[in-house]
Amino acid sequence: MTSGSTRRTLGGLTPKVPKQAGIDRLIKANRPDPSAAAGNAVQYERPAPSDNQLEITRETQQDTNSVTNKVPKYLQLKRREARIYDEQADALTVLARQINNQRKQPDGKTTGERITDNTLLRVAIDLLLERKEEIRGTTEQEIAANLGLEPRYLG
Amino acid sequence: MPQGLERVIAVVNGKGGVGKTTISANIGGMLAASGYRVLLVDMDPQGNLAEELGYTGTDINDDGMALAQTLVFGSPAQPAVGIRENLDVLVGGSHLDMAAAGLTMKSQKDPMAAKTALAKALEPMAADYDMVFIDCPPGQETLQQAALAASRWALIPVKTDASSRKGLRDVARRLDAVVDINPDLDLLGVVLFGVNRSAKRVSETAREAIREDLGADAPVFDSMIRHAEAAAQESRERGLLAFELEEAVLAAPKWWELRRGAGQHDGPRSKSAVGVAEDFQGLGEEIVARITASESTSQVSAAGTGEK
Repeated sequence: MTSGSTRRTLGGLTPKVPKQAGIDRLIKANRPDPSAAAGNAVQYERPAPSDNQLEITRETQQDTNSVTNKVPKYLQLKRREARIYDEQADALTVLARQINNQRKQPDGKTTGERITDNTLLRVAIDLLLERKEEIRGTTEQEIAANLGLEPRYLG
Repeated sequence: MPQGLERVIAVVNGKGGVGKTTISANIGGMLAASGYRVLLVDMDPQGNLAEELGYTGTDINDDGMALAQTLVFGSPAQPAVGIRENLDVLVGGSHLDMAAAGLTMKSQKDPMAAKTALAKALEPMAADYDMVFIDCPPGQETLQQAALAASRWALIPVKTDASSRKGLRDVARRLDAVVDINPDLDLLGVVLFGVNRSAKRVSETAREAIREDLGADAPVFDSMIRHAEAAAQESRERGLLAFELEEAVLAAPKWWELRRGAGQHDGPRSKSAVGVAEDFQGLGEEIVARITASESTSQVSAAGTGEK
């Protein structure tokens, strides 16, 4: 060991035990609904929220941990699978976590509802559909470029 | 989920030495002492549940022979009745290694039959019990899958070290293999085991790490089981559960009584048994509360949708 060298800072080092991806499927609510039919066409029209959905939204805003006798939100939504880039998945998880951290109030309580990757994906779909007139192109890269985004390429 | 298996709890972690057997025995024994009818299923070829409950070396202990035959050949399960009041046991042991080999061979021809071997065995009898706990082996993928396929709930003990958290990943993998036949399987909760009570930051960090893996709403039990070496050793040596050890310790003559020759004492001495018993009681209460809450929610939902 050389003396007098600057000691390396520990900040920013990767933790020894990184987050274990996919473990959250141990919780039933985090797993895809097996009864939902796969392969249905994408619903482009946003369905009007039912009274039941509105009630759930109000309820979750008050207390995220309350036991409700309503059908869980995830069971009322259609399941769609999508293949996305690794960086997108990572960034989405980080963003969801940041938003969830902001839900914590100074008194230690948590407000709002749990924000998941799927929550953000639903909002992103609506954002995209709001701008559907601007969607032009014959490839993913062209569509992205026409929306002012940096095109992504695999590999 | 087959009828009657709604209260079957697999105590599982892919890593050994995290407290699966101790928790199965103590929670099961404590609930039985409280009046619940409890069945413990020892799916571990090590058969350590026998030491916890004190039937090692007795006629009851067939080293898992009967359970192995039930799993491989489908013979009716025959629990050892009355290990304690209200407590029966499907005895495990080294014969389960052969059962695992048999089930692996069976799974090549009929994967479903191998996975549902335990569920089929429990189905006719589970309704006779208020709670069924399955003490899962740390390895033996086939046995773990059979246990998870028969369970409504998974209870995962972890220690505060990172390596036992890695066991969660193994459980998630096992779950993937059975979720198609048992979609109702859900995480009842994660419990910290062998915790040093004075190292609060360590246990809080472990809780945070679990929430990081499972999500902010991860069901981590508030109750933790403390590390108490003397009590643990004495429990196993005497085949007493923590609350039984606690009773014996509290009933023992006090030191001043012994000093004045008012009594003799060769019974248990571990004062820490009192704290350990309290920890198990807290965990048992949380387990019952969570299952009760889940069942009442399902009943209300079923009533709302007209299901019967």
